[in-house]
Amino acid sequence: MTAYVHSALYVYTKATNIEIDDVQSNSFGTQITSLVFDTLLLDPEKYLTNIEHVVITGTLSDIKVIIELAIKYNFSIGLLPDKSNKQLIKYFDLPTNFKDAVELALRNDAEAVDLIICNGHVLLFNATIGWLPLMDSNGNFHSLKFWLKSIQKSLRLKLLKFNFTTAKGTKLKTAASGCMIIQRHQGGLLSTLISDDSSIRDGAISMIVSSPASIVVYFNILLRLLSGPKRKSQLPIGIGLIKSSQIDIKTEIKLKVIIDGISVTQTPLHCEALPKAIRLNVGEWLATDNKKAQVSKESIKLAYQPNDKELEQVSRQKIPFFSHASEARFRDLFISLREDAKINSIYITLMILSAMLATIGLFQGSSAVVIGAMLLAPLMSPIVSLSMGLLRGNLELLKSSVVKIFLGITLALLASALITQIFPSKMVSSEISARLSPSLLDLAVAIISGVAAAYSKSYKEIIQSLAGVAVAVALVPPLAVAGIGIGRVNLDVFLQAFLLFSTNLVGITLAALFTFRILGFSPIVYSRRGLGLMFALFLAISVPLYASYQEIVETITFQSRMEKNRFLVNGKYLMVENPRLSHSKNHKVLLADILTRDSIGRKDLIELKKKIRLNFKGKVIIKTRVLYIL
Amino acid sequence: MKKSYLYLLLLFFCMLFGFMQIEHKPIIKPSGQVIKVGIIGPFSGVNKNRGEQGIIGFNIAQQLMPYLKNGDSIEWILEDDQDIPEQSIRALKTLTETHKVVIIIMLSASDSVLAVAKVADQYKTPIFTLFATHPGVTQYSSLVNQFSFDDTFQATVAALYIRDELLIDKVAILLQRDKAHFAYLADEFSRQFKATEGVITDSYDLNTQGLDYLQILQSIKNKEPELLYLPIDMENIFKVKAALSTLDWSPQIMLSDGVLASIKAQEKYALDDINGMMTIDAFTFDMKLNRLGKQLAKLIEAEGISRHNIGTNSTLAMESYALLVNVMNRCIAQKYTPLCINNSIRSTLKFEGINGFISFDQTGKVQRSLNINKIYDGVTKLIVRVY
Repeated sequence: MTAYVHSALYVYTKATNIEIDDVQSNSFGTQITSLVFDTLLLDPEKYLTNIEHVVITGTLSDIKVIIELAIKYNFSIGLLPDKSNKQLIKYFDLPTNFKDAVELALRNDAEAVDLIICNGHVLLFNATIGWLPLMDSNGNFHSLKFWLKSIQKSLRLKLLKFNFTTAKGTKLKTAASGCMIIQRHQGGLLSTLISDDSSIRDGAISMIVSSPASIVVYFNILLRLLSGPKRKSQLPIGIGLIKSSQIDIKTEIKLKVIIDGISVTQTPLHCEALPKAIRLNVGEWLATDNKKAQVSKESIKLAYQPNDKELEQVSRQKIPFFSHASEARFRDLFISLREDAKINSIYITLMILSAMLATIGLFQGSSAVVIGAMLLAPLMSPIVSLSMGLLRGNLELLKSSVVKIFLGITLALLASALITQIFPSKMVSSEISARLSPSLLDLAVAIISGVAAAYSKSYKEIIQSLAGVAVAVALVPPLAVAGIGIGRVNLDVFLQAFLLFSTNLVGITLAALFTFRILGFSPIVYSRRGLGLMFALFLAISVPLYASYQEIVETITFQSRMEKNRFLVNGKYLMVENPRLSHSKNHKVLLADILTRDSIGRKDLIELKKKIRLNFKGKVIIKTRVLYIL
Repeated sequence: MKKSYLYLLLLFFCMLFGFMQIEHKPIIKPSGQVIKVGIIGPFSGVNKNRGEQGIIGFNIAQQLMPYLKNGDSIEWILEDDQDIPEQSIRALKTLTETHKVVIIIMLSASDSVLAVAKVADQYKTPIFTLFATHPGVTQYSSLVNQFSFDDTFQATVAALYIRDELLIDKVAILLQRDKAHFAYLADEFSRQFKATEGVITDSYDLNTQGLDYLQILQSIKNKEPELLYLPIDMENIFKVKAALSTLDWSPQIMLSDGVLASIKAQEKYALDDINGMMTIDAFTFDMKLNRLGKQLAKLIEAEGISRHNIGTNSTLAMESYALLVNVMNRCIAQKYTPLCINNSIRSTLKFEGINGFISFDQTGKVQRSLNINKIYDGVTKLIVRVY
């Protein structure tokens, strides 16, 4: 059976005096003495001495004053919140109906709850220091303007140096965009991270520290928070949690401290939890929850926060869009990349074998053999290492991977040239000619493959996909064709094929470099010189590829146009079928079948040539095969 | 190297590539000099739509190229001939003697152009005919130049396409003997088709009085032709179409040039009603545009005009204006003398038109492709393009 207090002091303000009758004429047998809030403040001792229970209706700041007085005069508190004060209702699980709220406020079973005091100010919900756009909101995201403003703020985030000292004297240094002290998990977006880990009677302060290494990381945290309370045991990367009965916060510049939505003080900040400092009539659910609460031990979770070395570099800097990383964090990957950049006998053997195999496959025109050679070739790994070396400005990695690639290229060219000398007949299979006209499309293949290569390398689970990437980008066949060019002393073949290989090399390196950067493998200060060099190479190589691409576009357009073209030549109707346009050094060659029902003579062919030349750009050499329709 | 420098470098290269795509266009300052060009066409009467469409085309193209390269501009002097040969000759006289035009563009039909061609030499002014396709228009005078493919080319292509590509043996022809253009097409088609051992099952003149379309088509149907060749005007096409529907007969049909333009210029009949018919035209709705075509299409779009409403007549007019500017530019030094203009037209080689190259021979005949199109959902789609 519910027990109610015998008597209570009802403190109201001029704005809330309309409810006075409802409280005074309560049906719970509680004798009510009513008092205006301002009058109470004139002489609290007079009105509060020997008072056991106070019911307060007023603003949040009025309630905080009563809470401060409750510590001094040891009375319990019943809250009659304004309907508009949704945060208070939510935090203390209070009824929204006034009659139910009066019933709860007059109960004689107040719960002892902790109180957090920061620089002498009562903290009921939370306190924010620094910048936590979107994270510091109370879950009200309906306004588009609010979203846009928050995103804009997120893009301008900076990290500042923070020093934290816990009750046990543990000193912590880190860089953070901001931090939030949370009394309890209800309501706020950030508080969902500590929902299993915090109550109003655990004798501790929970503080969340936001140290996003990049904008991407910050948005990842937001996504995790917005997606609901999942896997709370593991904090998102960039988020730290400190629990202690006392926390001191110092910042490199003075920062405003916003307690319960109002800026009331600034750093340095001293916050302490006063265990069971006040007795409060709270909702049933919160009361049950509170009874289960145990006193928390001090705990610090600050993984993925900038370390001492990084602090100076990141402090006061705008956080980058993509993350940076120290080598220590990705040790396995770096070890693997260093290994990939080392020359060994296996690499030399496989490189020679794959080039020989590719050369023979190219002579045969056998796609299967050429694909086999691609799978055998170990060139992809040092290229990926080169990307990382360039990104991190790691000279050791850079040098070893460049030497390894250079050695691989030389061996492949020599092996192919040698095989070409052994088989001197100058056959040109479709597999060879396919590698003599690189274009922007090849660069696109190289870029996508580079992304895939870096991505596969970054995750052990998908490392086996690297073979597929090697097939897609086909590094060895162009080298083999270039080697054939050397073997036949044909500079044109060598240059065209080597351009294709260079396209692959530059495309993969640059794409892998950017992928590593996006995946967060770049150092804080990345190698701009290396990046610039690759970019310049990329642009340089794009020029001939662009021209070549235009040629392809022209060919396709010409061929598709030709498909529907007919010629009336000396009264004879000629139909064009299977037009194939190829580009030689100074001219175009059109190969096509001509279908007709009339016999064709030399005069007709001359007239046809004239018509074609008159209606299409450039000089065209025409070779046709005449087919008669019966 | 600062990161911002890299971005600047990238931006620079992007701009460089962008500019490489755009040919440098010198700014032309207007000279204030006006070159008079006469236009004879039907601006009133039954065929006034043809004249109006031509003028629309000239105006659009003139917006794109308002001046010759020396800053001179072209002024149009319009003379209405209502497509009546006698009036066309009168217009020629007025334009040459009163207005002293340097060239005359004719938007009239073949009959009018033929009449003018016979007297053209007296007036010593080059004539450029846009829509007249009768092969005879260039025979009477060395000053008459034909911008459209002629009827010999059209009829031969139609006959050989049907015979050699569609492999059709039997065709029936419906024609209008009173129109030189249609009569010539029918005769030439018949000659070519027969020359390739094709059979003309019937050849009906629709000008015969008291004609019963249903009866004629039933009679044609009985001889089982696989295709109907119809060098006839729009009104007759729809009458034939109605009779075919009544007979529940759907043979393949090929129309002559100019019909689509006529249908587009009126509201009584819809192009949708002749879906599936083949037609011969200089252009097609789905044609791949050259640079000039793209520029004009952009301009048309900017004017808020739908491309569906731009017919062959307007397109030919736009293209001919571009050629006229090109020809005039070649005659600046000669002060636009008739001889220079005429020679320049006839020496034009590989002029890049709206969707292909245009050349002229020394007889004043154009060498350009024609399209055999099919009408689908009210627009023309290319089947084959013949050079």
